Amino acid sequence: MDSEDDMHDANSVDDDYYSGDTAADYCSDDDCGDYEFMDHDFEDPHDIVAKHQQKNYVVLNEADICQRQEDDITTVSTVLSIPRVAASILLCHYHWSVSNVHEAWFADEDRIRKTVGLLERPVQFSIAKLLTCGICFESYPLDRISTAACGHPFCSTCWKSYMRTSIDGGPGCLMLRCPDPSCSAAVGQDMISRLASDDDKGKYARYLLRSYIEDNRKTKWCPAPGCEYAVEFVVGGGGYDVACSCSYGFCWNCTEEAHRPVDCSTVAKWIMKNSAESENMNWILANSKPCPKCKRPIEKNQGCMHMTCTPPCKFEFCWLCLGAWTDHGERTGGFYACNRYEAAKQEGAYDETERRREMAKNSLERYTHYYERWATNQSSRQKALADLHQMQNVHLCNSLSLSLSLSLSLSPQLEKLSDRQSQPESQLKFIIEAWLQIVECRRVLKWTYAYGYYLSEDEHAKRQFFEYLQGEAEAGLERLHQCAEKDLQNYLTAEPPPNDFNDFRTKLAGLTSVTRNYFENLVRALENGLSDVDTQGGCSKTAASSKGGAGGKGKSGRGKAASKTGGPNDDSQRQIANLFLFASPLGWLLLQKL
Amino acid sequence: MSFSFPSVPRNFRLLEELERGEKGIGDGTVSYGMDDGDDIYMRSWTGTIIGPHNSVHEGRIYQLKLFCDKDYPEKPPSVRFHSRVNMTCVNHETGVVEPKKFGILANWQREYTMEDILTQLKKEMAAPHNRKLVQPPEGTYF
Amino acid sequence: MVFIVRYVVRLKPKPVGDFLLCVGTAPGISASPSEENMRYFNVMILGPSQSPYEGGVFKLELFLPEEYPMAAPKVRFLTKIYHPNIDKLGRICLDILKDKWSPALQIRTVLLSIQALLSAPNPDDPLSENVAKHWKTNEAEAVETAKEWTQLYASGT
Repeated sequence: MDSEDDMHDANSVDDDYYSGDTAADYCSDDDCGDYEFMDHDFEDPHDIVAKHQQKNYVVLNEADICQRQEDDITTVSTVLSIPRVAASILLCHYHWSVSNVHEAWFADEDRIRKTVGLLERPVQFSIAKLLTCGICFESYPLDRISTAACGHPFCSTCWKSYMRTSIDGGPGCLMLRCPDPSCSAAVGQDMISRLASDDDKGKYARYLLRSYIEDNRKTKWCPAPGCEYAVEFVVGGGGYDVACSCSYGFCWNCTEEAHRPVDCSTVAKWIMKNSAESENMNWILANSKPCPKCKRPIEKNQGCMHMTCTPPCKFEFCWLCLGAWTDHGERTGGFYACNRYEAAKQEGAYDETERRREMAKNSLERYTHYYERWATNQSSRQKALADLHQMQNVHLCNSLSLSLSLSLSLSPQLEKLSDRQSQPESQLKFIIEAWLQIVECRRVLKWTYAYGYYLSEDEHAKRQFFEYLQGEAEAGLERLHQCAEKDLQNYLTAEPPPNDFNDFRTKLAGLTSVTRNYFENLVRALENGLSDVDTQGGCSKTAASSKGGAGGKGKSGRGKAASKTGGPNDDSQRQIANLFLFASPLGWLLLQKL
Repeated sequence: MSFSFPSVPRNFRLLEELERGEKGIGDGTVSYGMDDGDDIYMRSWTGTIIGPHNSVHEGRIYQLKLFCDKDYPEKPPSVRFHSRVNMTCVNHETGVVEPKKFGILANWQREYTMEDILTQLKKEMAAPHNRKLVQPPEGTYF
Repeated sequence: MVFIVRYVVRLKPKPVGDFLLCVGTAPGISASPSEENMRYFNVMILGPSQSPYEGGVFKLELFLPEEYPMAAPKVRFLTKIYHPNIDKLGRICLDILKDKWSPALQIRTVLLSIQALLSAPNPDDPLSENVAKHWKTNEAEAVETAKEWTQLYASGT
């Protein structure tokens, strides 16, 4: 157990002590003094730093959990002057809230004793030499008979199977009572330890530990499969996203994976929707698509969306929209608009039936659009995470906080790079930083597609603003991901090693920082509900009235929406451009260029 | 050491099966229930099988009658299709599932249940010798 | 293995002990184990006096499952009975047969509880919706039906 947790523990105990007047009354000065003293004793500068950087949660391993549980039991046992086993039973009933136990106990001890089954005066045993077991009705010498505080006698064999039945039945065994049907005397861990089989003792201890996490309002298990850490969360201040020590990031509120900046209810709706549509969507998950030019199947095995067909075709296209990649590039003003859903092929020469069919398909198509982008970013993130781990040469990293956790030993890859480019290892941090950024951005981007799906079509200005921010962020991320994935390979493998490594460093570090900015803008905007649209002058009216204007007009929406200024849309265009000015100077410049 | 525990008597065994059937089984492609809720001896049952994928039976709903006599579960129930079906183990005239041609009935053990019978019949429908047989029109009965 | 032997040996006296207990001490109740299955009992309960079941002889069956006495015995009526807590198949809604079971209960106490249930129907915790509704809306009429059913099905032939 490390000192940070000790410190925290002491704090939480203190909280309970001082959580109200009654609590202060029964806290003797000595006790309080002890805890305060301990507090200072255990604090070292490292912990203070860690405490201030961090955050409204603590990750607990099994030893931490046991320690906390023990400490809470000790506290209650000391304050109420009752045996530890009784304290444990009480805490179990009060969901491990020390202060609630204290409060209830001092309000009405008799009542609490009755509900929980803690009898005050143990019944005196008869002095007979033999006692009859109340279950099997056989007589036994006293040493084969055990009783709870009530004195009802049962033989050890019957106790053992009584306990086994209860423990097999689940965590309810933590509230075990005397087998006598009219008796409510509690049976605690002391009796379990004395009378149950070893196997059952283990199970019981496990339930007790789990109860400390699961019944406690402040703690939850990390939902990652196989992970045995728990997270204690302090409500108030800060978001719900937490990063477990197993590297899994999840939302403490809804225990889905971390989904900032999108709220829990949107995520829940989206996940429900996905499971409802999962059959339809299965085909999308397939990892191969035909090359839009030569029709040979192309497998996507890298993270970024920029695909290049194998020679001789070499067609470069976007995995998501299957359009030529050049359309996403600088020639169209750097406008990346693959994120935008628009009813496809609106201008096409379709006959009536075809159009009706299209319309019927439309709602599924719209969903498909968002789902595909959500799912693809998810798998891109997985790939990037694997790449990051390879770079870091470790499997545990804090992928959420973006705090740099460079391992002490360099990975073979970075070592190789260090050799080839004669770079000191410390100069290669920027690569790790880039990958950390990619992983985090893929996560955010993924959830913005769930957000986009539920963003009302009618809130035209908001939607445009959102899609603009998302598009900018996504385009930035694509450039960054491609640079980190493909350009880097050059420096690892090309012979002779290229001599422009410093340019690469500048480029990658630059892209990392630009992308970070884009995503910060995006996250900020979504977290305040795109409210900038409402506050930036009375623009939304005009924008909303031009329904089907700016957005709907552009053919296939590939990045030309904003350039198609025309007649009645001018106003809204300008208003939106104004928004962009506030959101991102680069966006504004781009608009000027068009 | 060998010690065989006294087995669950017929009625309590059928009550267990009834409760399991009421809760719903697996993916719902197999189900059963009592025909006559007043029959304290729980003899007549109706089973339903939804035809398995990748067979001519796909999507079709088959009704069966199962009869558990006094000697159930020492002896298997008698089983017959109510909906017309063309299967090698089913009598073409009566719809009776012929025990000799259907393993679970031929080698009956008291642990087997009506659910097992229906599940096996569903599997049998998808077996190579049954899955392509021409079927009578839907909605016709023996 | 040793453990299993002991478990079985320990378990045997209980049903027998139970059986002896219930013969002697409970008026209006009898239980006899079946010949081929010592855990399966034929039970007879007389309808309690001053209840609609007075004069009736009710047949029940009782089985002690493998987990007994850690799990409750299984009991049901074989004689048809009009009662809000007993359904058409004779299944009984009684807490001690479910979550309130305690291994310190015995066949005798279970059967006494069932007999008590006949004296005090509880339409608020029904097993048989229709009967319970009848009981609540028109108790006198429901009691009449229960008497008729007792005549019809439980007159001890």
